[in-house]
Amino acid sequence: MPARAGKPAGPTEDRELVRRAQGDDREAFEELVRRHQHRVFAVAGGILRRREDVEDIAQQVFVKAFFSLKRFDQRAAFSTWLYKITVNECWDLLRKKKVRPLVYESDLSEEQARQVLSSGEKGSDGPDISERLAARERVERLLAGLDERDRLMLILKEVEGFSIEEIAEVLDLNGNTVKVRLFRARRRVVIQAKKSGD
Amino acid sequence: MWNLLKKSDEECGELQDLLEESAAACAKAVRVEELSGDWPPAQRKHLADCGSCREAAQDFFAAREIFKGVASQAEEARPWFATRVMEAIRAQERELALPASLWSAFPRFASRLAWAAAVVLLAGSAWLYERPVTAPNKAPAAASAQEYLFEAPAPAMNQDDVLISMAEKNQ
Repeated sequence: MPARAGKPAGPTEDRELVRRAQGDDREAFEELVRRHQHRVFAVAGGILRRREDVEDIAQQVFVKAFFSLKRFDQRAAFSTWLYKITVNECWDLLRKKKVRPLVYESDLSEEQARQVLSSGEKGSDGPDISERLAARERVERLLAGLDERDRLMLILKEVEGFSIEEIAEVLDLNGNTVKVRLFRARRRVVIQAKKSGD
Repeated sequence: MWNLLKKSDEECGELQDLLEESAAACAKAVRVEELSGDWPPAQRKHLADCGSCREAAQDFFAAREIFKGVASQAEEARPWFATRVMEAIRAQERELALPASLWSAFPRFASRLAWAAAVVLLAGSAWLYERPVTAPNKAPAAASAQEYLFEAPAPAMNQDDVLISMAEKNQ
């Protein structure tokens, strides 16, 4: 089962917290951060490769949300609004860095390398971090030929456990489009995997 | 014919929806046969008859296998994150609250200041260029001319006169 990016906060609870946060209740906003951070990390992680970038962008998203909160009219769900900020911030970062998200990087970030080295010293029953990172690297190679949105869709669906409806919210598409594109993206990844012998 | 094609697309869409729902409910399934046993007969028949849907179902499980074990960004616990966000917010608020220094206001008025400086320079240059030039000795000559009205000026003494007068004094 793909990892579930935390149970999404109920929309009713979110509305109340947003209302309080708009009234300058800091604790309410901090609670919103705790509830939604995992999914923001999931979305950012679907677009960005480096862990440091994902953490920086996630922080930036919430800071931006805080300073824009009074202009948020709650017509859409708070989570939808947050995901859109996340996607936009990620694309902006990539534009600034002038790196296409599909470019394969053979280096791990420093933090990831430290994790790989230290994981060898620990014994664990499940797949350790080095295997999971290696799996991620392998998948990134297979996803390299996909459209950026299709890549994000697949990662959100297969790795982060988002539903079709949630993916549609993130990418501002309708559910049927997401389904069709997911099936096509899977086909391409499977063909690529067969070609590369994975 | 069009109706048949459309109906077929609809059936494919329905089967794919059913596949997604069934697979989400049964995480350990690795083949479509593990799920289709519970499907309505019409869907099972369509799966048997439709090559595209069978291929899509195989791709579905193959992709699931490919992504198995991939590290998720969301899984990791980050208990420090919310605190870090609130600190970043406070830092940004402090920055925004700093009183605007004179120099930070400068850019706003830079163009006006530049124009004002240019006008002052131009006016100053014009005044300097146009003001009447006075001879350096005119004023003392005028003053001494006033004195000449009443008494004759003493002749200017040269160096020889000075030496002669000193010699006379010493005698």
